[in-house]
Amino acid sequence: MPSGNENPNIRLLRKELAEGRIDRREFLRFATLLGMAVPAAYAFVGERPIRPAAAASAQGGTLRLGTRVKSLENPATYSWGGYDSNVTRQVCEYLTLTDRDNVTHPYLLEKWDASPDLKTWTLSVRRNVKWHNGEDFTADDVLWNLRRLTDPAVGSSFIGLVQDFLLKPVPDGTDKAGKPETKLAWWDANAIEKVDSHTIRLNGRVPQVAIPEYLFHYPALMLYPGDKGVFGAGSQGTGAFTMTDYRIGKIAAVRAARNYWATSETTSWGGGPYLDEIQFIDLGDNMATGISAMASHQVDGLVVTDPSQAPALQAMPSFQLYKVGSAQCAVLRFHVDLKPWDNANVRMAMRLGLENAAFIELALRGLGTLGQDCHVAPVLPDYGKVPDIERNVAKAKELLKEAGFPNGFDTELAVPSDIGWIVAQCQAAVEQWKAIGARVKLNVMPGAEYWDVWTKVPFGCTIWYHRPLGVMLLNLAYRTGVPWNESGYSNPEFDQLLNQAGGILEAGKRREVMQKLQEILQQDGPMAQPVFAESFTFMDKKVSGFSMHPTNYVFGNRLSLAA
Amino acid sequence: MRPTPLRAPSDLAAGATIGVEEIATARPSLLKRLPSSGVAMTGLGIILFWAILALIAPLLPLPSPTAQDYLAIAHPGPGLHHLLGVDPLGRDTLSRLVWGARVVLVVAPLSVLVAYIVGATMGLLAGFYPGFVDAVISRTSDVILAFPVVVLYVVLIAAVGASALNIVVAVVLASAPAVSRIVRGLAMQLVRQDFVAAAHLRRETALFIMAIEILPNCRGPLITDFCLRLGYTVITIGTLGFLGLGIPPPSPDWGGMVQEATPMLTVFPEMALFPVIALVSLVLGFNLLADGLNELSRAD
Amino acid sequence: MPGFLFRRSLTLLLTLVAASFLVFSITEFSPSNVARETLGAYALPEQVHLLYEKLQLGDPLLVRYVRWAGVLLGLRKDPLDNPALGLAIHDPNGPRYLGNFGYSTLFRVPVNQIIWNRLGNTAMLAGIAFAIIVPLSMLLGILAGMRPGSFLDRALSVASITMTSMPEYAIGVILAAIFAVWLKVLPGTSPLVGGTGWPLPSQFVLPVAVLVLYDSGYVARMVRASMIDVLNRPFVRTAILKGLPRRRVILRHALRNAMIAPFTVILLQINWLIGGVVVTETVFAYPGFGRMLLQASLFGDIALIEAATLVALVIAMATQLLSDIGYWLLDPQART
Repeated sequence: MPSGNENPNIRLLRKELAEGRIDRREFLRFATLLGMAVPAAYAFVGERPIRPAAAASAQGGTLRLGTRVKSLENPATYSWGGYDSNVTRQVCEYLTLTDRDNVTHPYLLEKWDASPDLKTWTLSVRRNVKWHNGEDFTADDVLWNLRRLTDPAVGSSFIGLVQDFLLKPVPDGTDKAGKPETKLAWWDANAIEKVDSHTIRLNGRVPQVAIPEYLFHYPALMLYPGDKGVFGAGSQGTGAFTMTDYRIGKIAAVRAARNYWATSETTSWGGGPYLDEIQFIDLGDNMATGISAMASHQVDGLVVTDPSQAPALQAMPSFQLYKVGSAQCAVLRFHVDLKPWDNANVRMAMRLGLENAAFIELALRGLGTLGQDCHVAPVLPDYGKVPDIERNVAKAKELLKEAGFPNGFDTELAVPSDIGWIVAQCQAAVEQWKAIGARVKLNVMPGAEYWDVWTKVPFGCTIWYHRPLGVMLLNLAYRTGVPWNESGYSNPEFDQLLNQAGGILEAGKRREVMQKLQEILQQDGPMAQPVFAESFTFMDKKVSGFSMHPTNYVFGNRLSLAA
Repeated sequence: MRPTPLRAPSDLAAGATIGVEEIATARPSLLKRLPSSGVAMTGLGIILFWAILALIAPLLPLPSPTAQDYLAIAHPGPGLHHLLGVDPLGRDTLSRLVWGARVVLVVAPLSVLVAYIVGATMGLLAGFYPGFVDAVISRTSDVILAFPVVVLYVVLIAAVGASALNIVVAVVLASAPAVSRIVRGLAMQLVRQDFVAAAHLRRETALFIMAIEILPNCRGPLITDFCLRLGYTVITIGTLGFLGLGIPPPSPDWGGMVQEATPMLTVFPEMALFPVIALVSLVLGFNLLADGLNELSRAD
Repeated sequence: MPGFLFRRSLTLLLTLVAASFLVFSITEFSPSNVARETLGAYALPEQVHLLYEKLQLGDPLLVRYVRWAGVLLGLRKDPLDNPALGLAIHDPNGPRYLGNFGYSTLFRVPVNQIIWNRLGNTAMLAGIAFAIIVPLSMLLGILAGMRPGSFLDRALSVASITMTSMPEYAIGVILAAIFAVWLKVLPGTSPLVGGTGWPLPSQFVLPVAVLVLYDSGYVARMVRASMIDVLNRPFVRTAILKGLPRRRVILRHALRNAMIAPFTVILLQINWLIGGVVVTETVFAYPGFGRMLLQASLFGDIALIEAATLVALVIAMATQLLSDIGYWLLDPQART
């Protein structure tokens, strides 16, 4: 490896790997984030990049996938990654691609470089990419898209990721009462800067290691500036397909585009498209319809599958189960400002009241992995090893007695009804808590209603989707005062450690800190979290080229159908 | 889900022959003659079967309806430990059916009863005081009866949230105007009868006349409607459960049981079939009883 | 007649206004929900508060209702269709026009772009079902009513009382399991997408079957009851005693009279079908009005719920008016 102008952080990573403080997975993830080429990174750890399934044996055909066809018009504000972005990503593409192993590859970028302080990121735009209309894809297109994504008026959730990095609050007049108000704006006019026709530079305010990963956040699709941010049938894109039909709540169809730029030589996920057409067909929320549609071969696969659908689909011999571990989980969280949850003993008793292992079967029908009540999944690269929390009814009762509840107590658990397995998890938990004297009443409410109160209810069950890094989750959910801190948890020691983790560039040391953070959550934390759900789905066996992504993303160019 | 406010009154409309005279003659003997109707007795038998099961549920040697046997999940079919098998969460189906009967046999009769109290009061007032009172009550009823019933239930429950209480409220809101309309029609015929005129002459209070003279005479057609409405309410509660708007888990609700089991229908059909059979049998019981009562009251 | 028609229409119109206010009160009762549900799940509390202020959601319910009605009648601009709010809500017809139902937060399009298409699909489903239910149940009802106590009559009674005791969702789920999963002779869902190996007509079979099975028994019983009633009336008995052939008496005299009572029942089935499709469409993933309403209700898509309920009300009332007129035409006694 040439190491003359290599990022010093990569050198650090090599050292840590050599000294055994980080494992190969973690090295791969961080080295590629810092701009090391993917094959080089794999070569360094002595592995070959996992090649996607062999290229298609067959050409042509129409693939039909069961899903929900949500609104596609405004990609910047997508909020249902598995549903909306999966259609659009066949037509428009991302600057980067984070694969199922959490390794980030260049996509519409050729490569990127980070400054040693991780504040300046130089993005090199790939040169042979063309829009469907034949125009070149250039830095101007990237500039337009990134500026739009970070414009608060557009309202993209992308802002949440880069808020500290690219934006800052600026004065914005005063409100009615005369108090000064602020709004978000780029911290510097040159925060996003075009260097030349194929180079963009991000000038950040603070260090940020995860920029390439953020560029794969599902709203960050590269749209054709001439389409003015609106996506629809016939919109321009750089991808392997163009959208030909789109009727919300019913169907979205994409047809193969000619001369797709990404061949299997240029990139590891390139090649194709082999299919003539992909149809995304809306099957609604009813769990049984997905099964019926699969049984009748009206669809060849499902984009998202609930565990309750698994037994029926597993029993049908023509379907293949695909799965991958993920950090998706539903936390049973307590609002620490409210009684009885302000008492750490009560929270601990609740954790001790659950037999976490049983939930894999009860809630997920075997399609999950054991949780450790700390919200960081062992599949994540920065997971620190902590012990499992074993069920201990006697100890839990004792703790409740100490907390002043010798005869147990009554409480209510709010849970959104729209995700089947979460309701199952809550039902199972309520049943197990009976043994320690916690009499929990379930309050199942429509999803929309739950999101109105999710940060306020004393006791609720909230879904947290997969994120590539544990520290991201902890920062979002448990840091004092952040908007998504639903439990009101505030622990100076915890915050202190979080700050520390953000500033450590040595992954091995960071993991030690992570271990401490996870232990704090296990002992004092505002939630119980029995399981992680695997991401999984079913496809007809005649579909080839599919592999499960933890966020249910579909890469249509690689799929093909046997005749 | 049936159009409750539409169907029951139109049953009466289709019968078209139920007049005040028949009510008067049918009144004293209707319940006594019940055993002579095989249909009615069959219906009553089914209802009693569930009612007794519900009543003695705590005495039966059954596991708790919420206890989860997660070892049984892999093989949920009927067997020695679980006579009718277990549901997707490993809970005993038989126990959930029996305890579910408690839920449905409380919620349905309670909501229909309240609907009757509210509706009959409205109807009596409207029939007794033609003019302004009648206009206000009738127009209000019209507004609610204008809704397709399922639409009203879905919108209402989704807005206020699903709970047993809210289901009762929704059923009352949707049914009371229909009951009111029937009672009003009967009351308007009855106020012209001699015995009411006599009561007026005796200077009885309006309350006395409405409650003692008029209401009992409406009994015949109301009993039939009451049974039919009970049947539809059982279906309604089940349908709301199926649509995810029913009695919240883990409470054993028959409609919710069907909903939870439908994804497994092709692999473990009995999981969904048992609650369907339970629900259909109970509704059938109410409908048969209504049918039998209707035949009896018409036989005069 | 015109006077009667006018009075009736006016009453219905007033009822419609009152009913729409009722719907508005139910859905917009909690104003902070309105702001929250407009912004979606991940909105921050400050954003919700800001929108709450801008939309003047603190005003009394009646004031907000009048505003809403103003938007619908094209007298006011839709307050959400305002770039300054940053909601990216834009109606291609402009912010102000007659029939502006507002913007669906679930589908992220103006309500008008979604609701009519769904209503068309449902009209197709319900229309086919109606076209089968009416002749089928009339035929069965008349045949049974002609010979009460016969084998056919008994069979019909048992069948219809059983079918009406069966919830629609149970019929739907069981039919789908039998015909789609086990026998594989019919498609299990009806997304109305062609080219899936199942021609479009085949996708109608199961949903229509559910509606027909559930409803025909009930209508047939109504027809039967009315038929028996009419056959026992003096004028029919006299005609038969005079020696006229029974078949002729039934066709010439009895049928018309026997149809008066069920006529309303049959027309009201249109009203019932509007609600009945909610379950059927959900079971079969049929892209119709009923499933849309359920989705909107579960999601809390206020504008769409209000619009859909209003449309359902208008249809219900139109059928009511139609049945009033029909009754008036059919039954001479009603004209007095």
